[in-house]
Amino acid sequence: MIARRSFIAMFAGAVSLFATSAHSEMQRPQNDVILEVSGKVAVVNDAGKAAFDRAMLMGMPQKEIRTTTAWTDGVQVFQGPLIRDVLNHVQADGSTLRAIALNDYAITIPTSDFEKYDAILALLMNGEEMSVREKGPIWIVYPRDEHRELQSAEYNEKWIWQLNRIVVE
Amino acid sequence: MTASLRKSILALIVLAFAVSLGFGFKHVTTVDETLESRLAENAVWAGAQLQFELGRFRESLYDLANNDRNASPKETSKRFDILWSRVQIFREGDLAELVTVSGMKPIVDNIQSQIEEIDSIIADDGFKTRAQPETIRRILDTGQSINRLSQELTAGIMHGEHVRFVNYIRERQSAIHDVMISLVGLFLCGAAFTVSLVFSNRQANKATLAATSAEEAAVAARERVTDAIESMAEGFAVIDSVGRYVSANTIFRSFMNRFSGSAPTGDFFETTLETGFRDHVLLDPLGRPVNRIMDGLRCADGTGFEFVMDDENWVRIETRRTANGTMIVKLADVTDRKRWEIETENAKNTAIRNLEAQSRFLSMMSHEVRTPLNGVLGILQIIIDEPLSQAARHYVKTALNSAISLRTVIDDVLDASKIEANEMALRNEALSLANLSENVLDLMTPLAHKSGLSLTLTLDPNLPKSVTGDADRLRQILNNFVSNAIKFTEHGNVALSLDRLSKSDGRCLVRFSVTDTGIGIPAEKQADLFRAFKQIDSSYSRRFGGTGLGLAISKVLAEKMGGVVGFESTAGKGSRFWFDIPFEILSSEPWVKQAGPSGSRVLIDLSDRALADALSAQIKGFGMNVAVCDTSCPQSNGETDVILINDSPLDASTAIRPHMHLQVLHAENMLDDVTEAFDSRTRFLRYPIHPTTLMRELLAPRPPVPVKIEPARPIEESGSGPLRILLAEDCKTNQLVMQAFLKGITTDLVIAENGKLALEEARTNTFDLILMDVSMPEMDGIEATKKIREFSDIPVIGVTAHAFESALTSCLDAGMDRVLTKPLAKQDLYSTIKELLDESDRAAALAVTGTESC
Repeated sequence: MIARRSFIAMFAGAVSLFATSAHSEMQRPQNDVILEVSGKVAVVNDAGKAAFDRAMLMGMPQKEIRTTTAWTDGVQVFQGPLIRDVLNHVQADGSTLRAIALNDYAITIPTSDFEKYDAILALLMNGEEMSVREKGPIWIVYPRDEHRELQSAEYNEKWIWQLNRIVVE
Repeated sequence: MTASLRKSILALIVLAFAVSLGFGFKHVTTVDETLESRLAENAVWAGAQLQFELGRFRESLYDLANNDRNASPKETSKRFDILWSRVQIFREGDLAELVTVSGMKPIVDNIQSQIEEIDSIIADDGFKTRAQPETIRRILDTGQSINRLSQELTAGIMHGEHVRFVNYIRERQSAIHDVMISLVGLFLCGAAFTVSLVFSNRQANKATLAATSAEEAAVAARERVTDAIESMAEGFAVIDSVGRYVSANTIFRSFMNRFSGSAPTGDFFETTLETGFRDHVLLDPLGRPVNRIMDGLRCADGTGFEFVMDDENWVRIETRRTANGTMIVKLADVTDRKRWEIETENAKNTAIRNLEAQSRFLSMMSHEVRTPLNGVLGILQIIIDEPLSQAARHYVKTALNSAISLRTVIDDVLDASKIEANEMALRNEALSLANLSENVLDLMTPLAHKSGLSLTLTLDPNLPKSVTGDADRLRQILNNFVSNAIKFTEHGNVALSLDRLSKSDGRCLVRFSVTDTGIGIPAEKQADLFRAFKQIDSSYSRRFGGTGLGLAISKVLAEKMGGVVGFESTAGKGSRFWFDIPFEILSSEPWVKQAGPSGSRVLIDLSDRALADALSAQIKGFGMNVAVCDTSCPQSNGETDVILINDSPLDASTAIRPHMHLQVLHAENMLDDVTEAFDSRTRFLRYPIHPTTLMRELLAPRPPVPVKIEPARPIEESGSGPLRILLAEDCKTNQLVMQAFLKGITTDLVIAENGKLALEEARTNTFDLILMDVSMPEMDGIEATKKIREFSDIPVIGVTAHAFESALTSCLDAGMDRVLTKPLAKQDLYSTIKELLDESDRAAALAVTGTESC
């Protein structure tokens, strides 16, 4: 029995060694995972992907965006990490993101967007967490009111809500 | 005008046009932008997403209800939250505005309140794996209604897109118009203002450029809407207020091409349809004129019109008018559904026709079989009264019994067909429940005796004296229950009892129950019991005979009387069948007069234990003190206040000295032989014992007198001479039967061969009564009666083999006083004659004093 357990431990160790050799380690989520970033990422904490709980994302530098949206009335205040910060955190190396929502709705966004604009993974709207019913837990928010070109159908489509998966491609 | 002034004017003009042009340009771009942004999050897409999420939520809920492996309350909850968020898309931001513009706000509000309802259903404990099925059902139902609403929403928004598109085109045209005015203005300024002209030209080019880009946007918008319409599974078109197509999908256009045949489709929807009707490509199955169909379609209230095409396919056209006069047309091939509908309808009609044919056949059979049976039964009844050898009597009796069985079978089948044809009508006349049940007791006792069973009757002391109801039909149910009980009981007893269950406001509920000690009904056979043509086992059927209709008929009859039937049964132990009928009370007096409380003790000493118990129960019901002798009778203890009921005469060997003795006489005809009791205290109870007789003897004891029995005579006539009866009857056998029947009464019988002769007889001679056959050559009984009624109110008794209620009604309508159905029973004939003459002047002259055996 003991022999068997130590064998499993050894095997797990070998796997983690192998994993570490390909990817850098990052902090593990303590609570429910709300976002998984996979694909061309160098930093992971789970099998091939970087899993984030709310606290991990809230712990990153926060950016506030005050803007109108096509789906709300009036100006809203959004808060969350810059998408480019998150991508840097996991050392993403790709030209596009495949952003996927809870209901499997997916959209492809070029990573260049996040160099050009301070788009965020919004975690709070008007200081409050967003429930699934309110398009939470994560909504990609562009600083729409600051750039005229963002006030278009093309960009509106990128405002994916109920986001829970990103695949870097 | 100086050069400088001219220059100034020129500059002003140029400036004015430039400003005007600028506005025109601005106008075009604004419209363009609005259009772009509105179409951005395509409302149709959002509607489809809503429906999609709704489907996934319901699927998940369904899985949850079915304990599917992949289902979890958490997953269902998530699905619901996503669904919730999809509804919110229509309630905020750009789409909310669009929803308001399209007039779809009430629908969105409705959807919101429905999801809130689901939310409140699950608010308490969320979704559960083992949720109550009705909760799930409620949620699924609500989901269904949301689904309908969201479809309406999508359609409405699509229409909204159209309206906006049309408005856009209009605005764009006015913008271009503004630009054109500017251009024309500038052109008029002429070559003289070269500089300004060049400048203007530049502006004009720019404006044309703007107009072109606006047009492109419009085309793009149109394409989007067209794509949405195109993706629909049905034909779909938008028709403007004058009837021209604004837009239509391929399916719709292909239908239009079908309708117009070789002719070009044209721009007008109605013209195409009219062409279709004119060339018989389209056919209205209801045969409405084309202009009326067009009116109906123009009405556009969502009514669907279904037409058949020349290739026998079906098409459904549905039109709906919107607020601004635009008409939405939906067109679908409904051939499969329609064929199925037609097949079902045909199958139904065939079934109805078969049923009707069966009904007609049975009604015919009723006549055809009953007429000869009348002959057989009548003649057998005559023969049995003739002096016969013992063997001959036995054969005739057997033949008579067989004929009676045959009549029962025919009556059952006829009743069943009457029920099927909804012809079963109930009479509502005064009846005595005590007498009715005693009749059944009398009728069934011989049958019970033959099987070695004892049949008893007990009546609840609270039964009212008289109620209203259909005595014949009640008797039929009772006979059926009792004869079944006898059939299925090999030894023991059958007990019939009537109990008043409740009473209020001049009404009472009476339970008739028949308890036996028979073979009982196995649990698995119980469900089929009251269904037509079912006998519990074909082996029983062979053993016990019968049509298997009796219980089914009884059930229908009882239910028609407002009652219920039921039973309890244990295989091998016996059964209890019962039915409860509500009656209107005519007389709430008790069914037997009670002189006063009797202090007498009643002692029952009968060899038939079941009978003793039944009598004991009956007497106890009246509060009297009863004892049943067990193995040995008690010795005399000097008691004198005792009433003894036994089946032997009082003599020295009787241990007890009662002050009254009721001796039960078992043999049927024994009473006739007993002219005098041996003991003056003795009175006789003839078997089967009627509760009314028993209780009358016990409760109103008359001074004991020797019993004198008169020989029974059917009808006693007084000195007023024989009854003059006219018999209208064409059939010789029936004439013979009637003559033999009427032998019991002294009559002066005149026979007429048909209605016409009967009418002549009735005109020229005086009769006390007419017996009128219904089916006769020359003139039938109904017409003859009508004619007789013109000059006489003489009692007329109709005699018919048509047992159907409708036939009876037409007899009574013609003026007949009573109608008897063939085969005739002598007893019925006598009692009917007596009843009728009782009503007329001859009443005093006649009295029925006895019964006769047939």
